[in-house]
Amino acid sequence: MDRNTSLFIRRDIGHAELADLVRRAKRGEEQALSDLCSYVYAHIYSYLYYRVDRPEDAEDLTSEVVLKILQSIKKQKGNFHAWIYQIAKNHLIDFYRRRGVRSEISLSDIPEQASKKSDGFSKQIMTRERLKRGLKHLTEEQRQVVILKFIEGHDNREIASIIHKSVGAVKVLQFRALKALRDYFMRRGVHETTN
Amino acid sequence: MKQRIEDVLDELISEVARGKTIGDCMSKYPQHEEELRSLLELATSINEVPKPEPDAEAVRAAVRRLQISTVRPKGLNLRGFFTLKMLPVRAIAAFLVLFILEVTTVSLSAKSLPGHFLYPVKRFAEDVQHVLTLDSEGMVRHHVVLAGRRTNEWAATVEPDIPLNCVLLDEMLQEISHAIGHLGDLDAESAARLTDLIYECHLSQVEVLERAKECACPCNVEEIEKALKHCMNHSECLECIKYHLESGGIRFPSGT
Repeated sequence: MDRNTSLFIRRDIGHAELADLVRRAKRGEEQALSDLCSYVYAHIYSYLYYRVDRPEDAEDLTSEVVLKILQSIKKQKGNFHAWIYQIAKNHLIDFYRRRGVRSEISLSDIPEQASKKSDGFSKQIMTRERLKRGLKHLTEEQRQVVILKFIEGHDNREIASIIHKSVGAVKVLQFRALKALRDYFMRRGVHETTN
Repeated sequence: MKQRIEDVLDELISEVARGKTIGDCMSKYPQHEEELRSLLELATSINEVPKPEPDAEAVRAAVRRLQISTVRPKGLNLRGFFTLKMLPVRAIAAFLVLFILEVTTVSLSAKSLPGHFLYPVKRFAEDVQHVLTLDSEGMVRHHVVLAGRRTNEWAATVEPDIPLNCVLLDEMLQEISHAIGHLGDLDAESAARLTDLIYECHLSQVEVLERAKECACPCNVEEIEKALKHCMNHSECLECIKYHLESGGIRFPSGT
């Protein structure tokens, strides 16, 4: 079935409500800080989840990033999402620097769930683990666009502001990212079904 | 104008998000179906992946940590002190702190002798005072004060077995010469009053030099006698000025 009404619909709060929450948090209102903490936590967690190997690492990093964000909320200027993702990205870079080498999932080590068919993605089962493996084959910018658009639900303009690119460049990155992912999954799917 | 395939894909993604089926979308661009259908299906399947949900307890723990960190009293933040907010008040406060520090340092340095770490502060304060003194009477008084200070400093440095501080000795005599030099810019009444002041300081210099000569080692006697000879010149000069002032207030050339 092609119809999917929930596709790309934002789960989170509206722009006006978020702006109000941020304003109140800057004034130090405790309730606003707590609400913003939950909101930011959910976003940063799913952003980091696909960029580290272990969910526990994602959880630890998210806690650190969220604390950092809310402690420096008074200094926040400009686009809120661009600001929080920039902090998360910097923290992630530090995380990998501390660990020395960026770890990669070995494709042969982890058994992948077999595709039912390789002729269409609507009939395949996409899991978080499969997606995570596929995202590792993208460039940093392509990975960011896929996460921000299809997982986080941001629109092109917001993504452009987060990754400091034009809307046109975001569309190009989106096209290339999906193409690279499709090729990866097609190869894997064909390989597994023929086995 | 031919539409870029990246733009077509983005447009179709938005249409699917609004509820259109992939089949309906592709009928609009049949020439791109082969390429774009699979990409739209992939986009849909990625979006269907359950969102990674953080553990509720982890979120609560983060909120608790945040509350603790916001309640904790903060230390003195000097960076925040100099922000633009309340800048005038902070500027005045900073100025007062600097002023108090400066006054304290200068007053502490007033009794310092050559070689002490505060002595350069003392000399710097004197230079500043010199620059800020604009009238001739003030200038004479300033040089008399400096002559007195150099004399005391020099007297404190005199030791029987140590070579004399000739620089200081020269400076103390020069201050009297400068003071006499500025007398020429004054009216007769002020000049007479200040000549007495200079004379008094000059006499104290002579007294210090005489005392030093008594206890000095032979190697230093020559320097002290030279200084006393210099003082004799000062004496003659001051006597001469006094005489001229008393006999009709005749102006004398500057630097007499």
